[in-house]
Amino acid sequence: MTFVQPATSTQQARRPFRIPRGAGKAIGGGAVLLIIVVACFLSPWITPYPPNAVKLSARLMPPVFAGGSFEHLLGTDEVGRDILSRVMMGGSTSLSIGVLAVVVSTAIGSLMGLVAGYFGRFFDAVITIAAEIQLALPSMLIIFFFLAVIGPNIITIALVLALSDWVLYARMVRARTMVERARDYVAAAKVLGAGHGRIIFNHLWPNVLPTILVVSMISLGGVILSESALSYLGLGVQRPWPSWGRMVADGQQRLQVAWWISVCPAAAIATVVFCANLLGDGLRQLWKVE
Amino acid sequence: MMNVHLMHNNSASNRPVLEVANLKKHFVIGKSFFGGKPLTKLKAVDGVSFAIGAGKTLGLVGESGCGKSTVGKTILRLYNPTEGSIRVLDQEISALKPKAMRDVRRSLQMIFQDPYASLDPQMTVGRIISEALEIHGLPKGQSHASRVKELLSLVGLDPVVANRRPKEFSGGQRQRIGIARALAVEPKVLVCDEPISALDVSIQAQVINLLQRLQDELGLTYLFIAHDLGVVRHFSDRVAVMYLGGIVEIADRDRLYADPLHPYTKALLSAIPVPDPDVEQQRRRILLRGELPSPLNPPLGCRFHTRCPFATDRCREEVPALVAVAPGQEVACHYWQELRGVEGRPNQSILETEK
Amino acid sequence: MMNAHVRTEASEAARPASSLLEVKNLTTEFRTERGTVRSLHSVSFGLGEGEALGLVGESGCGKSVTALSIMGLLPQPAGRIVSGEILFNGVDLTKLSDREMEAVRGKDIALIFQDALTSLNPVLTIERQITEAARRHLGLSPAAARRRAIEFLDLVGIPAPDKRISDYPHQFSGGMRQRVMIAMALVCGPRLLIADEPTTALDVTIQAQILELLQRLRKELSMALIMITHDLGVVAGIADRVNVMYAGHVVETGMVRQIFKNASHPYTAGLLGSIPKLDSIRGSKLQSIKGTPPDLANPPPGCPFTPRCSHAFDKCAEPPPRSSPEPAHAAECWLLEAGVNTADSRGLS
Ligand SMILES: Nc1ncnc2c1ncn2[C@@H]1O[C@H](COP(=O)(O)OP(=O)(O)OP(=O)(O)O)[C@@H](O)[C@H]1O
Ligand SMILES: Nc1ncnc2c1ncn2[C@@H]1O[C@H](COP(=O)(O)OP(=O)(O)O)[C@@H](O)[C@H]1O
Ligand code: SF4
Ligand code: SF4
Ligand SMILES: [Mg+2]
Ligand SMILES: [Mg+2]
Repeated sequence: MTFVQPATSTQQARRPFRIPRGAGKAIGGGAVLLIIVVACFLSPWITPYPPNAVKLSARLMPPVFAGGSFEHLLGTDEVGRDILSRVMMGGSTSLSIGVLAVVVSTAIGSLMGLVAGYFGRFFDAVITIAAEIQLALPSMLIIFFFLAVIGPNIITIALVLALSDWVLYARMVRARTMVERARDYVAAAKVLGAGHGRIIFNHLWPNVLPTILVVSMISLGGVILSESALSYLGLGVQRPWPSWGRMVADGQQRLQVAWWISVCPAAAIATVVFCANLLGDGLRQLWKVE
Repeated sequence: MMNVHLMHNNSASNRPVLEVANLKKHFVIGKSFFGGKPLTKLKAVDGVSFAIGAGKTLGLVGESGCGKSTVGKTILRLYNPTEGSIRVLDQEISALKPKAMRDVRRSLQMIFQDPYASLDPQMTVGRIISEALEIHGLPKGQSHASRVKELLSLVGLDPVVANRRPKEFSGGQRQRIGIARALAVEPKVLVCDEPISALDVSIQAQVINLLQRLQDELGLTYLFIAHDLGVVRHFSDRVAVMYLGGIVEIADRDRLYADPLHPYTKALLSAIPVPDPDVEQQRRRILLRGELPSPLNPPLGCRFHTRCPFATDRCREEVPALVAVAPGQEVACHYWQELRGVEGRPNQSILETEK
Repeated sequence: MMNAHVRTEASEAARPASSLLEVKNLTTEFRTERGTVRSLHSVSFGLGEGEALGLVGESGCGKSVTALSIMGLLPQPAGRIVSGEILFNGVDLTKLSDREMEAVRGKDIALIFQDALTSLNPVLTIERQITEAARRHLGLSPAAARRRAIEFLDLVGIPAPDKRISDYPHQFSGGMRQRVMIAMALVCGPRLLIADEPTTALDVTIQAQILELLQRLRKELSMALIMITHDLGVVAGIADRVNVMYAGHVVETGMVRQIFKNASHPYTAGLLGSIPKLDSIRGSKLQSIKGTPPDLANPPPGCPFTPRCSHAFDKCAEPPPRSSPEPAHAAECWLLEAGVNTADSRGLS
C-alpha cells in the first residue's frame, strides 16, 4: 500500500519519474484526435478553398503524394472541388453527429443505469425491460423508420443514433453502480444523513465516470462508423453538406480513375475511429477501469 | 471492586443512551422483483437486547457471520429492523421516517471496518469530512474549512492533508479520517464495526488509543464490535457475546473474563491465542466440534447445541432464555449453574469431536 | 528463564548437525511500476529437523516472499533472487533447474496458503487434487494413491473420508477446506511444511482446531514447520524459534521465550506492547509504535526502523550489525552493540 505522509514527501520526490501504463496511448490518440477535431470544427474559416467551390480547370487532380500539385494537397473531384477542404468540412458534420450522439446516449444511459443500479427493485425491473426491448428490436430498421418519417438532419441523425446506443451505457453503468452502491462509503454517506440525490450525484456518479468516459470514447468510433454507413446508404445528411460517409459513397463511381475521392474521407474515418479507440484504451489502463 | 458502574441499576438521571430491545433483522433471500422462487428467511439477528449508559462502552463479540455487523447497521437504520425497538437518547427510532432520522444521525454515527472501502475515493479528505457539515446545514464557508482542520488535528492528522485523496493514505490514517468524519456532527453514540481488524498490529494500538482518548475528551458512548476478545477486554465496560443471531451471555467485563458461564463464552475465551509462550504451553483449549451452523437453517432449541459439549435432549428442544444470574451478568443456558467452574472437556481429540 | 536456557543450549548444540534448512543472505527484488522494490535484505536463518519456526511481522514485511523464495515460486518475471543461498539438506535450492525444483516442491517441502478456497481447484474433486501429487512424487497406483489420500483426510479430521473424497471444494466449509489443504500438503510426507497464515481467514474457534491439528501432526510426522503469521499469540503457542521481520529484514531471531520475555529489538518490544495484556486496566493506554511501515521502494537508509523508533540516535543512519545478547538470540540494532538492553530502557521512552 502506498501512503504519503508529510515526513516522506521529500523521499517521494526523489523517486525517478515513470510514465504510467496507458499514458502513451491516451496522449497519442488524444493528440491526433484533438488536431482533427480542431481542424474540422474550424473548417468554415481555415479551409484552403470554399468546400463547394467548383473549379472546372482543375478537375480530378490527384493528391500531392500521387503526383498532384501542392495547390490541392489531397487532389480534387470531378468538378474540381478541393478534397482537403471537403474532408475538413465533412468532418465537422460527421464529428458533430458523433459527439452529439455520444453525449445524448451517455446522459440518458448513465442516468438510467444509476437509477436502476442504485434503487434496484422496481426501477431496475422497468429499465432492464426497456433495455431488453430496445435490444430485441432491429436497430437499423428503427433508424430507417425515424429518418424516413422525420427527415435526416444533423440533430435527428444524432438523436436516432443515440437512441440505439443508450442501452450500452445503461447496462454498464448499472453494473458499476451496483458494485459501488455496496461499498461502505455509500453506507457512510447514508449514516451521515445524505439523501438519494446526494448519494447518486456526489458519490456514485464521480466513481462511475471513468468507466463512462472510457466506453464513450470507444463508442464514439462506432457512432461515426454508423453515421457513415447511413450517409453511404443515402440516409444521412443531405447535399450539398458533405459528410465523410456521403463523400465515400459519391466517389465510388470513379474509384477506377480517381480513387482519392473516396479513399481520403475513408482514411479520415479510420483515423478518427482508431484514435478514439486508442484514447479509450489508454484511459482504461490509466484509470484501471475494467 | 469495579462493579460501581453496573448499568442495569440506572437511576433516572443515568438512563441508557442507547437501548435495544428484542431487535430482529430477517433478510429475505432469493427474492426477485417479480416473485417466483419460494422465499427463504435468513435470521441474521433474532432477538437482541442490551443497553449502554452514557460514556460507556459495550463490546459485542462473536464469530464472523453471527450478526454483529447487522446489529450495528440496523441500529443506524442502514437496514430496517424486522422487529424490536431501538432507543437513542430516549427517542424510539426503529420506525422513524428518513427526514426525522436525519436529525437522529447527528447523535448517532458509525465507524466502518474496511478503511479502504469506507472513504469515497474521488473526494478529497476535506470534502469527505465537510460533507457531514453540509448535510446538516451547519454554518457554511470559511468555518467549514476551520472545522475540518480542527477535526483532523483531533484525530491526530496533520491539517494540511485536507486536500489529498484517500488513496494517498495508509489504512490507519484512513481509519482516522473515517473517525473524523463521524465526529464532524458531534455525535453522542458511536457504533464501531470492527474498526481495527483490517489494520496491522502496531497500527491497531494507535487507533485504540485514539478512540479511548476521544471517549475521555468528548464523553462518547461506544458500541464496539470486534472479534478479538483481547482488544474488547481492554476497551469495554461490558461485553456481550453473540452466537448465530442471539446474545448468549452479557456481563461486566471483569466478570465475563473471570467467570464465563456460557459454554460458548468459555470455548471462545480458551481459543484466543495469548502472546505468552508460558501461558500457551500450559493452557488447555476447549475445542468445539464443527463450525457455525448456517443462519438459514439454525438449530432448534439452544442455538449452540450442535457444538456444545454438554448438550442434552432438553437443549435440542427448549430455547434457553437470557436470564440474570448475578449482578451485571446474564446468560442463556439451561445448565449454567451445573456447569459453573467446569471448563468443558479439555483436550478432546479433534478426531473424536469431529465425528 | 532457566528453562529457556536449557532449551536454547540443547537445540543450539543439535542444530548444526541436523540442520534441515539454512537460508543465507537471501536478497530478493521485485520490479514494479513504482521502481525496484527490495523485498528481502540479506535474510539469514536456520531450521533444524522437526523444529517449528515462527515468522512474524506486519503486512508487506516479506514473510510470504521468504516462503515463496524457498519454494522457488517467486512470481515471474517481476520477482527474482538477487543473491544468497537456500540450503535444504545441503543442496542449494536457488541453483536447481525448474525440473529439479519440481521434484522437491510438494514432496520434500510443502506449502499451504491463507486462502484455501482460491488455492483449491474448484472444478476438480479433492480426490483428483490429493492423489495427483501422491502419484507423481511417490509413484503410487491410482488405487494406492486413493487409499493414501483417504488415510490423510482421516488424519486431518475429515469425517467419513471415503465418502467426502469425491466431493468438490465448495462442498466443504472454510475450516474443512483448510484441513483438505493440509492433507494435500502432507500426502507425500514432506520434511518441511510452510504454512502461510493458515488460520487468518478463519474464526477463533476454528483457528484453535487447526492449530491443534498442526501441532499434533508435526509431532506425529516429525516434520519441520515454518509458521507465517502476524498474530503473536499463534507464534507463542506453536513455535520453538521466532524470526521477527520488518521491512524485509529479520530484525530479531531467537527461541520463543527469548523473544517474548526478553525482546531486544525496539520493534519487537513495540509489537508486544501494542497487544492488550490480559491483566490490562480498562482505559490504560496501549504502548503503540508511532508512524507506519516504510515504503519499500524508498526505504530509509540504515536501520529500517529509524523513522518509528523512539530510541533512534545518530548511529542508526547506518545499517546496524547483528549482535547476540545471549546464545541463539540475535538482533539487528545499534543499541545492542552499545550494550543497552531495550527491554530495560523501554520504560524510559
Ligand atoms: N508479485 C509481486 N509484485 C511486486 N511486489 C511484490 C509482489 N509480491 C510481493 N511484493 C512486495 O514484496 C514485499 C513483501 O511482500 P510479502 O507478500 O512477502 O509480505 P507479507 O509479509 O507476506 O505480508 P502479508 O502479511 O500482507 O501477507 C511487499 O512490499 C510487497 O509489495
Ligand atoms: N444484506 C444482507 N442480505 C442478506 N444476508 C445478509 C446481509 N447482510 C448480512 N447477511 C447475513 O447475515 C448474517 C450475519 O451477518 P453479519 O451481521 O455481517 O455478521 P458479522 O458482522 O457478525 O460477521 C450472515 O449470515 C450474513 O450472510
Ligand atoms: S443450553 Fe444446552 S446446548 Fe445450550 S449452551 Fe447450555 S448446555 Fe449447551
Ligand atoms: S538501530 Fe537505531 S533505529 Fe534501529 S531499532 Fe536500533 S535504536 Fe532503533
Ligand atoms: Mg462484520
Ligand atoms: Mg503474506
